Amino acid sequence: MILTFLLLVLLALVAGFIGALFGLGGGIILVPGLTLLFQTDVKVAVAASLISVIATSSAAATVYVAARFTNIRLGMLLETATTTGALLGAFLAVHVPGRYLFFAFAGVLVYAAVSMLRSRSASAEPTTVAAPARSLSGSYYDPAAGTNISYVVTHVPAGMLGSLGAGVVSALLGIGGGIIKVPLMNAVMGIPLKAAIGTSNFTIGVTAATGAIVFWANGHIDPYVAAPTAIGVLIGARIGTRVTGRARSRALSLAFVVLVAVTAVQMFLRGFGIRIG
Amino acid sequence: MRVDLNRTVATALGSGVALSLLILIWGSVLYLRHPSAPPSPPTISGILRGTVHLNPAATINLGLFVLLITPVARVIAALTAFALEHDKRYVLISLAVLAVLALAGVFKR
Repeated sequence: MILTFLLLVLLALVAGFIGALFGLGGGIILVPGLTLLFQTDVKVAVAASLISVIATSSAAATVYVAARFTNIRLGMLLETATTTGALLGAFLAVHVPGRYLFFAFAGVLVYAAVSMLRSRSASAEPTTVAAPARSLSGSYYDPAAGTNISYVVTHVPAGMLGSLGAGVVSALLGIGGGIIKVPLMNAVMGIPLKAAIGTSNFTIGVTAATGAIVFWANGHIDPYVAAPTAIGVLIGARIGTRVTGRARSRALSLAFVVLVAVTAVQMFLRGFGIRIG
Repeated sequence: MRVDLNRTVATALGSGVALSLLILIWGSVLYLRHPSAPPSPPTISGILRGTVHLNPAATINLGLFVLLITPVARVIAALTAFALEHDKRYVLISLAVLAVLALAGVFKR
């Protein structure tokens, strides 16, 4: 039992580290790690992952909010949709048989692998225009560009709908959902990447909390799984953030995409009750 | 009254995570010293009593509870800041988020 506890801390350290390195949350690594390596019940794994998502996103939010990348008003507005989605997603997760969660998770891993491959060739910042005084518009100081960047938020209804979906996926699978929200805000709502990342992360904490509360009320929170993972992910993410930029390379990114793809296959097979490795 | 929304929110989040991490580490140390300790009581008052009596599971649950309410506290912090700025629309939006969170607590199968 003590050994398992310590190994869980180690798994979470690695998950948090890799997550921070590649700009994903720890959840996408943590849930497969718990279910495939430790045979943790998938709902207990999703619940523990949501707990660690709250921890990492809240810790990261203090940095983004202090740097004023976060559009707090927009974040609050989108949270009405993400939390509602999380309520639905958690309700679904509690009721459906565990194998469907494996199938859904395999699907998200494929999506993650494809979007990582695409983002390596995508252009970075969209062009921005001067913002008129509207409540949802925002601006922030970009230290890299050395100027203030202002932007106008567009397509709010589409953004709300997408955020609802991201909330469902978050609570259903124990991930933050930034992988859906950041491209949505950036490409659809016209928000510059730094503000999209800061605002997406801002909405993640309260969304994961909504899901975690439902899992808690239904007895899926195991303290001896949730504690070592939360501690490990927090420390791992802190280290990962420090080395990002120095350690990230093309070869490493490609290796990670392969790892995600292999994990997708394993999660899919586990849905059928087949275990490999 | 003028409040710094960003700073209020960042402080709420940072202190919540730090506090919960400390409690979680303390609970883990207790567990590693007594791995066969009894499970945690389910209620909040039971968890608090268990924490006082150095029950590892109860202590960890307290840490998890602090982590869970950190984003909730952040919404309340923002709500307060919006109210002080007389921004009625965003007071209502914040209240809507709190309502969903409250609903999550009563969602049992």
